Formats: sequence, structure tokens, C-alpha cells
Amino acid sequence: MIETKNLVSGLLRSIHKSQMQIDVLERAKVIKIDSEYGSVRWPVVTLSDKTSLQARLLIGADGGSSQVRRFAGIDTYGTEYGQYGLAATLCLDQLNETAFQRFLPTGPVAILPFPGGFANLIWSTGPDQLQLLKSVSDELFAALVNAAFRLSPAELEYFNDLVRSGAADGPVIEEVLWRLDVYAQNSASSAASKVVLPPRVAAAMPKSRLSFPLRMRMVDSLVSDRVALVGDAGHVMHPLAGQGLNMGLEDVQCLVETLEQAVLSGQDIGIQAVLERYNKQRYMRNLAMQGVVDKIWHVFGTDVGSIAKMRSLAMNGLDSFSIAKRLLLKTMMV
Amino acid sequence: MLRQLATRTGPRSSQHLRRAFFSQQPLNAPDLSTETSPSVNQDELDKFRHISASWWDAQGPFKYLHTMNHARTRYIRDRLMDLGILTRNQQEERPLAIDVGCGGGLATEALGRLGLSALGIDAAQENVSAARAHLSTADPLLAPHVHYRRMTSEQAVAENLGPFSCVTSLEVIEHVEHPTDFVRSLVDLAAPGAPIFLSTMNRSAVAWLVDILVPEYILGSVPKGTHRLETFVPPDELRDILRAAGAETIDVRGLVLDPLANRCHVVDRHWGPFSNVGVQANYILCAVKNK
Repeated sequence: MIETKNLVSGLLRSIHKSQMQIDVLERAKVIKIDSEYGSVRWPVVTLSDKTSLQARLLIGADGGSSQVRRFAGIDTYGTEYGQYGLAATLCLDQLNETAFQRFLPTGPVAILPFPGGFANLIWSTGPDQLQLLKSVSDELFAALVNAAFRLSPAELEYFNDLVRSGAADGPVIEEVLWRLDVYAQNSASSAASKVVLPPRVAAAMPKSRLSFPLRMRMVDSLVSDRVALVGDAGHVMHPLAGQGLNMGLEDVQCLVETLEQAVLSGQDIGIQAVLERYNKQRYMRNLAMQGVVDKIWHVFGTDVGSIAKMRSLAMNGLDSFSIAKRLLLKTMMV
Repeated sequence: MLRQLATRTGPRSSQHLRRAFFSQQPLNAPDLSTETSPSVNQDELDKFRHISASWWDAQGPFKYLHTMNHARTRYIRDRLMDLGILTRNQQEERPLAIDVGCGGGLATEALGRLGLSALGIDAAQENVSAARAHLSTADPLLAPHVHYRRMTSEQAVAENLGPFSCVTSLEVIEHVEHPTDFVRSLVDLAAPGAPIFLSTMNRSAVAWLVDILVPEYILGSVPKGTHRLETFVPPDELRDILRAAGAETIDVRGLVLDPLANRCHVVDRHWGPFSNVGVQANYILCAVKNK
């Protein structure tokens, strides 16, 4: 797990170190994109500082609601999960390098490690609980996160009801902490329990809670006339498997290789024949990964008993079958 | 304010060089009449006149020429790097290249993209016009580094053009009237130590099969009568012609087209104990003019 600002500053540092002539334009937004200027039919990007840039190839790396994709007229389709992701920065009570995820009936909740005992929380849930989780105090929020990884769905629903009925923060926090204590004693006494739990959340960073709608969006193509899409611009999906960044990195690697081949053979890097080679290699792979993640969401999002039993059986089986587990990790973690 | 972003792989022409190059041959140098030039075979020329509109149609009659051009260009780039004419870093001056029999400019534009300053010449006005039209609309950043003129290589020699750091004539020699004189004019255009690239087809049963029978009579991907077996030149014959003209052949490789994957492979001439297996049909040759 890495924060965007660290990723960006790392990229900037490597640009400054490299001998390549790369211009970075800061504090400028894209105002509009045109398909030609004069007689030259190359995309033209107009920036907020009135600069216009025209290039053989425009790469859209501008996220899920990509402006470049809209300009290129590439259609998208997919589903809204009717859920939101709530992100927050947490301070844990001990150092941690492991990611944890629990599938609740309301949606998966995950803790992803940052260095220095910090962590990133992604809690997927419906609009009602989202509003509630965003409105409570930082202290109660931290207690609810601890509860979400340990207590039963019924208990979590009970806390929601308490907050909704207008109970003061203090008594609710006490109630949560008491039940967590009971849980800790129970699990300590039952030797059979081998549930691995994340470290306790000591505090939630003030004003760090942000939410975004969860959706899956597929594109008709990753390329069009002098346009190539990479990353979320070309595929939006549920964050539950954390595959969005991995797929984006694979897109970039593949596009760079394709363009390098074209340059070495003296080709125009913006023509369809070149870009189609990139699309051919990435399109189906991305679609397959989006499909897999969507299936995981459906399988883990259901309450139906028989599916839940199958799911537990499969996960436990996977856990004890170390070759399959390693193979899966290798596929998912690039 | 409009900025056109260049890919920074190739060097830019320095102002100095451009002046030097074009003081000898101004941008508006007139196209020449080529009918009486000794290397011109009117029948051969007419074949290309009629399809000159299709040069840049990647699905048209030149589909596989596009594919082959990518492989040829990579080969040329590798040899230019070996010979130190192109370097990995940006160069102050673009080396001069001439592409003789440029057709629609497929190879000429590619040479420009590799970082050379390329002049494409062709005997047919239709080809030169098609090449110019494509250049002006397709790539304004490349346009300053690529030029076309209607003329033959003999006329270029007579005008004292050059000397060029790279001379190419790809898939042309099988269409000219006097191959020996034609090759001599190519060598005359090259600077001492500069490479001359020639690609053509071997005079063999395999070449007849893959370059005439299949494309012209079975698949119909190339117009009937485009090629005649007797005009194909075996690599050893071409090596002797080049040697007589003052250039030593340093490398010969086969060009093998895979029409199903639409890819073209550069293969070695000899495969273990089987000599000349790689150059049974299409091949590309690199010769260096004696110093």
C-alpha cells in the first residue's frame, strides 16, 4: 500500500534524475481537447494557462471519469454496486505490515498497512451506514472500526441503531469497548480459535474520512484515433482485491513496450496499427480481471447459507493448499 | 500559443546543417523529367503509377510492404548504430540519407523518424505526389526532415547531390532497366564508408512461389504481373555488382513474412549447415562504400 502523494513525489524524483527531456506542467488543468488544429489531425489539449499542446499520441491516464476517454468517444458500460467506499487514515497500536479484510454482509472492510504503524482503511458499505460513519466523532469511528473486524454483524447493526436513535458518543463508545473486551476474553479462552486479527486502531486521523461510489466500468476499447487509455481511465472496478493499480501498471508496461517497438521500426506511434497491438494485449486481460473481482464481490456479498458454507470451505481449502495459494498470490500481486 | 510535442528519440536538424544541405538542393528544386533516364523502364513505372493512391493504405495492395518495412527499418537502424552513423544520444546534426525509388515514402518517412534527414526520389510523378501529400497531412514534425523529388539516381549523381551517409533502395532493383549501372549510381551517391542498403528477391523457386504465385495468383494481394522472376537478383550476383562499383557487402539477411500473424522476421542467411536457406526469397543487404 502506498499513498498517492508518495507515489507522485517518487515519480517526480525519477523524472528529475533521468536524462530524458520531460516537461512537467504544474498547476494547470485541461480545459478542452480538440481533434485537430489547422490541417493537422492530432489531438490538441488546451490548458487553463492558455497553453495548447498538440501531439501524435494522447495518453489518457486521468482516472475513472476520464476526460480523454470522453473526447475519444469511447463508450463505457458496467454496473453500480449501490455502495460507497469510505477511506480513512488510521493510527494502529502496533507496527503492522499485513493487510486485513473482512467480508461483512454490508460489504468488505479492509485495513492496508502504511509504514510507521499507520494504515489505510477502505470500508465498503451502503449509503445509510456511510452517512452514519462519516458523521460520528473520530473516537467513536476508531471504536467502530475495531468492532467491524471482531464483532458479529448483529452487534454492529445494534451500534448503528444506537447512533441513529441519537445516543451520545460516550455511552456508545463504552458499549463498543465492553463488547470488544468480552470478545477478547472469549477468544483467549477458546484455544481452538485461530482467527488472525489486525492490530487495534488507536485513533482515526482527523478529517481523513473520504467517500467515493463503487462501480465497475468497462470500456469498448483502450485505444482510438491517436488516443490510448491506461489505468482507471480504461477500467474501473471494486477495490476489494486491490487490483486497480496493478492493472494500471501492467497497462503502462505494455504500452511502453509497444511504443518502443514502433519507434525502433520508424513508425508513427499514434497510428491505429500500432495502438491496436497494445489494445490486443491488454483489453481481454483487463476484462477478465474485472470479471473475477466482480464475482468475488457477489460470492462474498451474499447471506445465502449454502453459498456461505461453500465459500468458507473454499477459503479454508485454499489456506491449507499452499501451492495454489502461492500461485494465486503471484497472479494478483504482479 | 500552440506547441507540437516531438518524440525525443531522434536528433533535430541543426539550422547550420539544413542550410548546408539545402543550399545545394533548395527545397523548391524542380522535379525532373525522368522518361529518358537510362534506368527507367516505362512498363515497370506504369505498374506503380496506377496504384500510387494506395501506398499508405495499410490494408491495400501494399499491406505486406508496410509489415516488411518495419522489419527493414529495424535492420537499417541496427546497422547504422553498428557503423556509428546513428547514436543512442541526440545528435547535433542529422546524417543525410537518400531513398532511391521511394514510392509512396514508406521507407523515407521511417528513415526520418530514425533521426536522419531523408530525401526520397522516384521516377514517377504520381509516387512523389502521393509521398508529399502523406507527409504534409500525417506528420508536421517530420516534414522538416523529409523531402521528395522526382528524379532518378543517375540524375541525382549528375546534380552532384550528396554525399549521403546512408543510401537505401528497397524493393527497387528488380524494376530498373540496367541493374549494374543503377547500383553504380547508388554507390556514387554514398560518402566513403557509408552504407548502401538494397533489398530485393532471390532468383529461386521459393521466391517464385512466395513472391509471385501466392500473392499475385492465389491470394490476389498483389496486382498480377508486379514481379517477374527473371528480374530478381541473387545475393551473390548483387555482391559482385556492388564490388565492381566500389562497395563491399558486409551483411546479408533474409526477410521472411508471416502473413497469418502479419509479421516480418529478419533471419540469418545460413542456418547451420544449410547455406542460403534464409535468403531463398526476400533479402536485405548492407554494403559499405570503399574509403
